[in-house]
Amino acid sequence: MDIKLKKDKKRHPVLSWLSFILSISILATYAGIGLMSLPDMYGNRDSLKALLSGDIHNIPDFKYNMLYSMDVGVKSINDGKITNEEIERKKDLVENEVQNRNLNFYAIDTNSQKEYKPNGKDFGIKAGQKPNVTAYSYSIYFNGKMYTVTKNGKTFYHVSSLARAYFPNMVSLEKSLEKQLGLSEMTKGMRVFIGIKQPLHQYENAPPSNLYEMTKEIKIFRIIGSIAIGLFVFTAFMLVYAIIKREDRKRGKEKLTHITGKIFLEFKAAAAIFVSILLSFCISVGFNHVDSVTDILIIWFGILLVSWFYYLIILDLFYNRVEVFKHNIINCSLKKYRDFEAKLPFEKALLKRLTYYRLTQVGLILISLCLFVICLKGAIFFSPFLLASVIGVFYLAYRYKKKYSEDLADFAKLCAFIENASDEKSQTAISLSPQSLLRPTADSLVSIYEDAHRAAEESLKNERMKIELITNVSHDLKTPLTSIVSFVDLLSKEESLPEHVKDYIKVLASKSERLKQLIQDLFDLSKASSQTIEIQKETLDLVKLIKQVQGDLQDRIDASDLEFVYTLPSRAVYTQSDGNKLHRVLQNLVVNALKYSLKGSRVYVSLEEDDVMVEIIIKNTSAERIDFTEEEICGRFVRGDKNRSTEGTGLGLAIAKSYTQVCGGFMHIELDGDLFKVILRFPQLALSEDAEVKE
Amino acid sequence: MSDSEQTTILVVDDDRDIVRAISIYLKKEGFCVIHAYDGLEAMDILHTTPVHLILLDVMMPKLDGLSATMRIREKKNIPIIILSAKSEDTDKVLGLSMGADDYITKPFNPIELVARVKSQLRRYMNLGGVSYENTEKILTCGALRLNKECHELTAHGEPVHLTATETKIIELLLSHPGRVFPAEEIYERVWNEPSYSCENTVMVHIRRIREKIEINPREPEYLKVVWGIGYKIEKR
Repeated sequence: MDIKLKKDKKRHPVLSWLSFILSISILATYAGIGLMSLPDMYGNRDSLKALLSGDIHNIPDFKYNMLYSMDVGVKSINDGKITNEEIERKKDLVENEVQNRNLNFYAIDTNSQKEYKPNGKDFGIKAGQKPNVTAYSYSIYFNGKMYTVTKNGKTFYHVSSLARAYFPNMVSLEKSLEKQLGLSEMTKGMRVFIGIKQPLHQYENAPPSNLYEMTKEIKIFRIIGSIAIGLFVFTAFMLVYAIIKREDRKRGKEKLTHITGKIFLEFKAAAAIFVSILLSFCISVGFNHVDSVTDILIIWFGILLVSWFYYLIILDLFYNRVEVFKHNIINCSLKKYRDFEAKLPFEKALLKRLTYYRLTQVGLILISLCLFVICLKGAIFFSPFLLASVIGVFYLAYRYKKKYSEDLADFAKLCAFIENASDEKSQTAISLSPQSLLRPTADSLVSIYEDAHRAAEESLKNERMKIELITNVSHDLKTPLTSIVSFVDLLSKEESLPEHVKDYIKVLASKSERLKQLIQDLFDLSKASSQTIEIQKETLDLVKLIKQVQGDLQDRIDASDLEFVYTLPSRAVYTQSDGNKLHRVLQNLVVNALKYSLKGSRVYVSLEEDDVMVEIIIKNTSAERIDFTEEEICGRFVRGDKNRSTEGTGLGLAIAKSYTQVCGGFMHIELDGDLFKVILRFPQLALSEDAEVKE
Repeated sequence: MSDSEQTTILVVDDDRDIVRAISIYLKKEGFCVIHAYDGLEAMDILHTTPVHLILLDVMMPKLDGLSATMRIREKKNIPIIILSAKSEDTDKVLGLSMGADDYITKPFNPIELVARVKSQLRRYMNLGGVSYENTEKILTCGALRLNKECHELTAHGEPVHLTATETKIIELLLSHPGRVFPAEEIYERVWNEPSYSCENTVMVHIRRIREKIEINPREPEYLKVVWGIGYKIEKR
C-alpha cells in the first residue's frame, strides 16, 4: 500500500504538469480555431446546425442542389434557355445523381407537353397523379401551383414559393434566389418532381455524386466533431485535475526546473534565439498567405510550441534565479578544472594552473590575431567573435590574477593562524572558502590545533583535580595535626611529669612541627608544579631582593660558621616577577646552603647580567660527598643526606625550581666534585632612566 | 583578670578534640568558653547567650563558617576569628571580606591563637576609648599605636620596647601606611646619612621590629617586606 502510494506520488507531479500543459494548449487551439472561424460561422448558423444534427436535408448546399436541379428541369423544358454553360453543368449534376440512382426527376410542361425525364419514367405525373413519395427520403413536388416538400414521407411545407419552402427564416435570401432563378415565372403550368432516395450511393465508374459526397462529409464532420467534443471534455477534465493537483504541479515544475537548470545557459540562449526567429517566421507567414487548414495548424502548433518554450524559460528563471546565469559552459569548465586541481598537491596545482593559463592565453591571442586578419580582409561578420576573443584574453588574465591573490590571502591566513596558534586560545577556525586549495591543509591544521587544545584542557583539568585532591588531603591532614600540636603543647606545659616523659614530648613537638611544614611545602609544591598558583608580577630589583633575603636570614648566617661572599653589581638589576615567590626561592637556596655546607667553608652568591638575561649563582661546598645527579636532587623528598638526619622536608629545591619556573625563570644545578652550584636565570627588564629614578 | 571572667568566647569546630584543646588554653587565660560543633548550633547559642568573641571553623556540617559569619554580621558586631585548614591567600581574603576580623590557619600555634584572641577582645572592649586621645599625637594602624610625643609603641595593647632607630623606622612607616619605602630612603631619613649598601642593615632592623610587634613574625600582618622593592606598613 505504502509503496503504491509512493509510486503514485512520484508519478503525479509530471502527470499533473503535463495535463496542465496539454489542456491549456488544446483549449488555446480550440479558442484559436473558434476565433478564426467566427466570421465563417456567423453566416452559416443553419448549416452548422444541420451539420451538428446530421440532417443532410437541412444543409444549405443540399437545398441549393435541389434548387439548381429544379432549375435544370424547368430550364430544359423551356427551349432556348438551356444553352447556358452553367445550366449544362447543373444538368450534369442532375444526371450524375440520376446515374447513381440517388435522384428521381421528372418535369412536364402541361401546355406544350414537353418532358424532361432523365430517369426515363414519369412516375404517374404525366397522368396528373400525385407521385408516391414513400420511397423517398426527400422529395419536392410542384403541381403547378403549390410546392409540396416531404421528408421521409411526411409533408413539411406546402407553400407557393420554393425559396420560401427552403429558407423560411431568410426572407432576403429567398427573394434574391427567386429573382436570380426566375423560377416563379417559369414554373407556371408545370409539374415537377424531384425525389432523393436513401441511402445515397457512389457507384464505381459512375460520375461523382454531389449528394453522396455531402453525406460522406457530414459523416466525417460528425466524427471529427464528436472527437473534438470528446477531446474538449477530456481537456476540461485534465484542466480540472491540474487545478486540483496544484501542489503536485508545483512539484512537477520544480522537477522540471531542476532538469532545465542543468542545461547550460549558452544552449538556452541559442534555443531562445532560434525559437524567436521561428516565431517571427511563423507570424510573417501566417499574415501573408494561409493556403490550407494544415498550414494554419502547423503555424498554430509552432506558436504554441514557442509559447511553451518561453513559459519554460520563465519558469526556469523564476525557480533557478541567478543559478541560470551561473550555470554556463565557462563556469562549469572552470569548476571542473578546480576539482581536478583540488586533487593535486598545492605547489603542483599552482604550477599546472600557470601552465594552463599561459597555454590558453597564447591560444586565445592567436585566435584573436587570426580573427583580426580575417576582419581586415573584409569579413566584418567575424568582428563579434574577435571582440569576444579579445574580451576573453583580458577576462582570463583577470580571473587568474584574482585566483592567485585569493590563494595568497589564504596562505597568509594559514600563516597567521600558525603564528597565533600558541597565544590565542579562543582562535579555533581559519576562514577559507570551501574551494580553496589550502582548505584540506587548513582543516587538518585546525583539527591538530583543536586536538592539542583539547589535550591541554584535559591536562589542565587533570591538574585541577590533582590540586583539589591535594588541597583536600592537606586539609584532612591538618585537622588532626591541629589537635596533636595543641595537646603536645599542653603536655609540654605539665609540671609534674618525669624527666624522660618530657624528653619524649619534646620529640613529639619537633616532629609535629616538621609534619606541619611538610604538609605546607607539599601543598605549595603541587600548586606550583600544576601551574594553578597565582602569580602577581611586578618590576623588582634582584640585587635588592638578594640583600633583603640576606638581611632576613642574617641571624642564621651569623650563627653558622660559614662565610657568605657576595658579588653583586652596584646598580639595580630589574626583572618582571613575583617578589614573594622569588623570595621563597632565594630563602630556600640560602637555607639549603646553610644546612648542607661544609663547616668553615664559604658560600658565594653572585649576580651576573648580560643584555637580556640575569643570572643569580649560589655556590657552596657540600659537607657530604655528592652522590646524586641534578635530576635526583630536584626531585621531591630528596635530600643531600640519604639518612635524612637533618631538619627539612626535602622539598626545598623542588619548590625553588617550580617557583622559579612559574616566575618566568629557569633554575639548574651544576655539580662538580663537592661544589654545589645553583644557577637562576631570569629575563632582564631594560628600564629607562626615568623608571629607575621612580623606583 | 576581673574583665576576663565575664568574657565569654564561643568556640565552634566539628572536631571535638580541637574544641577541647582550645577551651583548655582559653580557660587557662580565664575566659568563659562555650562549645558548639556546627554552624547552626553556634547560631542557636548566639541567640540565647551573650558572647564576646567567636572562634569559627570554616568546614563544618549543616552551616559552614563563612555563611555563619555572614549571618552573625547581619546582627552582631562581635569579633569573629576564623580557624581554617585552608591556608591560601584567596581563602584568607574571602574569610576577611565576609566579615571576619582575623584568620588563623590550622595547625595553629596555641600561643598565637591566645594572643590573637586577646588582641581582638582588647580592641572590641576598648573601642570607645580611642576618641578622647589626641589623634594628632597618636599614629595607629590596626592593633599598632604609636605615641609620637613619648615615642611609645603598643602592639595588640601591650607596650613594645624598641630602640631609638627602630622607633624612627616604625614612625616613618606608620606615618605613610601602604606606601613602599626603599631601603635607601629609610636609611637616609632615619640615619640622616647618604645611603650606601644599606639594604642589609635596614632589613635586619625591619626583621627585629617584626619580631617585636607581630604575633607571628613569619607571617607578618603589619610590617611587610615587598621583596625586591622595599618595605611598608600594611594599610588597615
